[in-house]
Amino acid sequence: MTTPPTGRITVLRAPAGAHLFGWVRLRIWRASLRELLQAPVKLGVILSMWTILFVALYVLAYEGIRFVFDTAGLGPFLLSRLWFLFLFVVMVLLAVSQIASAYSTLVRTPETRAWMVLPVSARTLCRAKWLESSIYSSWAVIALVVPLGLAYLVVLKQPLWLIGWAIGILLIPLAGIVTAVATMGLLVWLRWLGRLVIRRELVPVGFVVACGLLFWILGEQGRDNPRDAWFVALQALLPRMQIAMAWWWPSSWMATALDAGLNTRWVESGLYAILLWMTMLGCWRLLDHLAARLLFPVLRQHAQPLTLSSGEGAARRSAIGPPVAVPLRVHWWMRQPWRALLAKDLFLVSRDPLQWSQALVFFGLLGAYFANIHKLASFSGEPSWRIGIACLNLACTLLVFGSLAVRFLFPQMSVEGRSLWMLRVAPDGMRLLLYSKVWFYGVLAVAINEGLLMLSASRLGVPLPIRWWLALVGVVSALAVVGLTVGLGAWWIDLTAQDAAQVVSSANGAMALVLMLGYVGCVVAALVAAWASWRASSEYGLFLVSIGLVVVSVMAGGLPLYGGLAKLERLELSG
Amino acid sequence: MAQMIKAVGLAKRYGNVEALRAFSLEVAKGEIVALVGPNGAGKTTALKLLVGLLTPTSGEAFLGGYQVYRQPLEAKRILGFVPDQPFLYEQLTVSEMIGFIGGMYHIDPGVLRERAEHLVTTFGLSERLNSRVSQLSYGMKSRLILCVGLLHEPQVLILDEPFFGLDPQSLRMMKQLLTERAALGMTILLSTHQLPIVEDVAHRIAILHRGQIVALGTWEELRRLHGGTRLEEVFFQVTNPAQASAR
Repeated sequence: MTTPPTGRITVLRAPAGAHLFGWVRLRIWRASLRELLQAPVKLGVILSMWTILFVALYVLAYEGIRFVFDTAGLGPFLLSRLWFLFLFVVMVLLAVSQIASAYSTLVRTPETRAWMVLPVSARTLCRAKWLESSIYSSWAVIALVVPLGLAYLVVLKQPLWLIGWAIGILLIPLAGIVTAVATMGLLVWLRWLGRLVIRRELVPVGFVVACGLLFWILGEQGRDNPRDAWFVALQALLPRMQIAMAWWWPSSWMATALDAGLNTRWVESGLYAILLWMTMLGCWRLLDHLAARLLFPVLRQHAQPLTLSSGEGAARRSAIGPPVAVPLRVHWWMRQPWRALLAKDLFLVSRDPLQWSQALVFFGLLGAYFANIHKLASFSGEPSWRIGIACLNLACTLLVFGSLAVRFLFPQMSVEGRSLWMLRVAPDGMRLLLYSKVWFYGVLAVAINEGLLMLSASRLGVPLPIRWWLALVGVVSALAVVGLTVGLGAWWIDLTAQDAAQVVSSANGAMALVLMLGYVGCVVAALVAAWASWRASSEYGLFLVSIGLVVVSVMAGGLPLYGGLAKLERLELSG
Repeated sequence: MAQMIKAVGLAKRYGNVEALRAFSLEVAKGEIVALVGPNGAGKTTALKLLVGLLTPTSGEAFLGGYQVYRQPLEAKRILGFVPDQPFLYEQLTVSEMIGFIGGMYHIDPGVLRERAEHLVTTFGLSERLNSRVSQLSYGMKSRLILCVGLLHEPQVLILDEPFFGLDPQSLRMMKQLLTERAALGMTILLSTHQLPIVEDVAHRIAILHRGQIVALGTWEELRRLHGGTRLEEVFFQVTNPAQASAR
């Protein structure tokens, strides 16, 4: 006979239906907030970075808007038209973002399958997930619009409270309409065209190609007279803006309401606001009805391959293997176990588009920009300015690479996580793991950085000796950033983290970002000093700068690696 | 007889919690020893200390005569370990996983192919060679982890809960495999809650309770010493005498 428990157990009362979903989210967010408040360094870093970003955006927007506003006779007219274009672009981006966000939070997350077996209706589930994915996809848009709107109001000398009206009354329903329509589109697509899935790998490639074309097209405008490039570009742009200004777009309603409000036509503005809100409510109801019919069939249809994992499906999903296997066959000269570790990293990275798609997008955009930078050379014949721009490009590349390294290389050791036991019990596994990562990502980083730097230097017509110097700085700094991030990742390894994002957003992740920025700051300072030396034709100064940079880089990359290896060698895997 | 596994006074403390106390055990070449005990008795801690995944608070461990904490490379070369949870690289395919482990243990490609073919057939994974690990069921992953644990033909095999999640067919195959390998000279130390299987395969049984070995011997010796016809009765007698008498 079992004895009944004597202690009293407190059970929290949870609400039902959609409220239950909110109740769960609220508790998760509250726990995250508490954790954040207990890490003052992390909180401080996050707040500082947001403040800097916000202020920088405001200053940039203020200068740009003032420049357009001061254009004689055209300023206010142009600005009101540009709002149409801006909000149209925001609407398109929001729709794309919502499709990705809704697919992730509604279809792919295992949580949805858990909710499916609870007595929750399809409408309720879809409504809750739509709300959640809308917040994920639109918070950045709002964060972008606020400084821009404030700068606009300051330039127009309008009261600042109008930003609240623009965001709360106009932007929120616009976001609601766009996210509801995008979610409906996703459901319809998955239900009837689910087999025509666009490969995830192709999306970032397509994005970079599209941006490259855009850079090229814009770069070819105004070749005859660079001073008039702005007007020529505008003349070419205005007729194309007709698409963005079409009356049926909700973004046009918001732009019209904004313009009317700023010109104190409050009735017109109010009517457009009502139109936006009513449309949003209509879209919401439509989404409700569509979800009631489509959501569960869609979830059942798309949950199936994940659980059954047929041999055919498995073979199809691992189709990326062969192209990767080719370089593996080529590197036959590499000894085991380096080869095994390299192959592992190659396979794991190539099969996770999240790992490389952001790098492809950022570096692709930089490449497209550098490829079209040759016009700058025609603006100024002075070589020192070209060298200055080349240095700026190096700093820019390094900053992008550093940020990506903190996002992806820093959590590398932690995400090995529970699989780490295999290397821990293998002879010399941990040391080899650390060094193979440095080797693998170091070669990759040097290849990308050098490619971009050479492209930039050749397009700018930088003198050959300077190119060599910049190439050397590129190699040293890329390796230092890899050493810094991988080393710190090993030193501050977190085996309890659920995923890479959790590692990056921890206090240690914030500290790694600060240290990386500190190192990039050192490189920028060295570049400035080197540039000054060139202008002063001081070879001695350049030599000193080079030595200083190498010493700082060796310390920045080497010390974390040393500490990281020591940590790995005595790491306990108790979980 | 050569002692392939030797633990001398191993202890592990987590803060105020003493997970393992004065754990001493010797396992001879070709012997199968099963470690049984209630949840939280310290079985996994003991095994992880023996393979070097944890550092002991005090004590020493030897594998094939090599000190685990001072000669880790030599000790790990002869060791095969199968943890209680099948954590593997989820995005690798089964064949890539085998290739990776083969590389880590410097196995010649020809030898690796031969051994892999044999093991993959034995564990019923031939049809899943091109499947990603993430697409395998729990039982399949357990089989794969056993397969990669045996790939370098270790002299010492340490298994933590190897029978968990296996179907009856796999269980039978597993028992047969362990018996065969031991007969060929492999030293096997395993922990499990499956007491009937222990009766079938283990040469000796160690019962661990509250961080220390409270009974050690062959099944016959334990039965003689503590009474009972099944290991389950001996187990309760040793770990929870009050409950054993109530039953």
